Amino acid sequence: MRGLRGALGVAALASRWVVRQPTWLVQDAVLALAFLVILYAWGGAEAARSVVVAWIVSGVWGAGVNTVGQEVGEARLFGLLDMFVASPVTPRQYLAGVLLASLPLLAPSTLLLVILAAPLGALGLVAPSLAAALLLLPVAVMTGLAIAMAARKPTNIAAYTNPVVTLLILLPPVFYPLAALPAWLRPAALLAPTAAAAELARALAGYHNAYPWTTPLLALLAWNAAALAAAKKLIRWGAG
Amino acid sequence: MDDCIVARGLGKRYGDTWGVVDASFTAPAGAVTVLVGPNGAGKTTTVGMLSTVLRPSRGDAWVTGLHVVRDAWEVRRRIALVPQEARIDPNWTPWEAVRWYLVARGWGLRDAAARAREVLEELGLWEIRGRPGWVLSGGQRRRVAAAMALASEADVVFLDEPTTGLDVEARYRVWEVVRREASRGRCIVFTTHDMREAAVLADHAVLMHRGRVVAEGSPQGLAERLPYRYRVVLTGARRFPRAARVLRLGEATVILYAETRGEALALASEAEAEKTVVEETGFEDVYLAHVHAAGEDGER
Repeated sequence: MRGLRGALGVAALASRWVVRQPTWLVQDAVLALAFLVILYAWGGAEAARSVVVAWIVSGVWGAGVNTVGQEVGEARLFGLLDMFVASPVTPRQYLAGVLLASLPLLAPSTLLLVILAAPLGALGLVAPSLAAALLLLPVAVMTGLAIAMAARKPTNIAAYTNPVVTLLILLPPVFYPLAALPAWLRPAALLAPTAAAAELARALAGYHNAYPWTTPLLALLAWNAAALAAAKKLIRWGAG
Repeated sequence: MDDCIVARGLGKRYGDTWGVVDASFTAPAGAVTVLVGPNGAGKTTTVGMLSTVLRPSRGDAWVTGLHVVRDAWEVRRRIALVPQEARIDPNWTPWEAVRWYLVARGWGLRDAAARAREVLEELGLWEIRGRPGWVLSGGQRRRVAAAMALASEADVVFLDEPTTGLDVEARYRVWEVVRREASRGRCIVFTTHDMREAAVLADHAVLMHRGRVVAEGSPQGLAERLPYRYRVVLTGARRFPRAARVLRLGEATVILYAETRGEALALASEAEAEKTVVEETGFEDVYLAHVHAAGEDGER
């Protein structure tokens, strides 16, 4: 119970932005809807369906890297991280709380996509996308946390996390299928964790995948192991 | 009184520079211990090491009998900290900050709410409890951070310059709550560079200069150990007589020390200055004596 309270207390504090800045939620939902409309206009329902996979995967990546990174960065800036270090709150509780607080950002757009998935014939993509996103989440969180802890100036954290998020969402095959790339480029593209997650979702759903599900799964598991090792080295909780 | 903190030869090195060279002191339980010293004395680094935020480069320290490195996780269950310049997130209200911080520390919701109300009232923050941080002043946001730690009922509460930038009334309120928490048996470690604040608040004062503890004891006891009972403070000094001890502070401020009031009055009558004040020596003179005796060549 005490452990749960630790995470809930942190989550309640870190999620105050939901109450104070709800426009972020509106922006996320509007963006998801806009991508659906744009792709539907250019490529019909088939193109719009790809947004379901891409938005869930990229949403989790953004929440993990950007939201967690910036929340921890702000906590450093205001001296609040040290307040939590010098308290019974453990790093796991703190991290769980910050992560929980970032999830509301995904809720409106995910809900919207789930609702629109049925008329688009993409309902079968939702569960595989969520499963793949779940495997991507630890990598995203560790990446955000490692950036937030390693940055010398906490005010600069967004300058590091934003490019990492944008680069790994827009360039690799997340919004488009890995199968669209030349065969020789596919293994390299799979090295991007976001691309591996999107490919895993597509493979699980049997939707324009280039590899069987085991290949992107292995890539994601390797990323998880690497992120954990990097986080252990980079993330410090006070004196240890 | 038992000691809640024991520090022995504590030091912290940043690259080639020692932030703290030798911090050796004790802090009694149920009392307010004030770490006092000029900017750069090593107070914040010392608090960082004692509160398990920083790893000491050398030396040892125990908080409530637990070693700050070897037993860091156990120490953290017993402490609360307000770091220097800590302030609440602009999205938090005072009510949310204190209540949810207590929940994070393991408090039940109802107890956390009751305690949050109590401390916010004591610190004069109850009226603004529902206002988000972005509409509060910097001082109010800092006071809420202090409220979070003071509400925690931790055995040891570290407050690193919590009153910097606060108005007079707010400062008195913080002092009052700090004294009350100490009277309830808690160990309060408070840092400041304000001698008056240290003299008013401290049961036990630890004077730091250039990364070392140079004196410790009660402010009154330390003042009584001074060899001079009176001082003559000359502001805008143009000419002054020879005295047992002369301290120059800046271009035209001079302090002359004397053993008796008669001697001090005689010095004052001989001096030429824009303003002359004769008064008894106090804790500020302890600070000045140590800071100026230490010179400029300490190991750093």
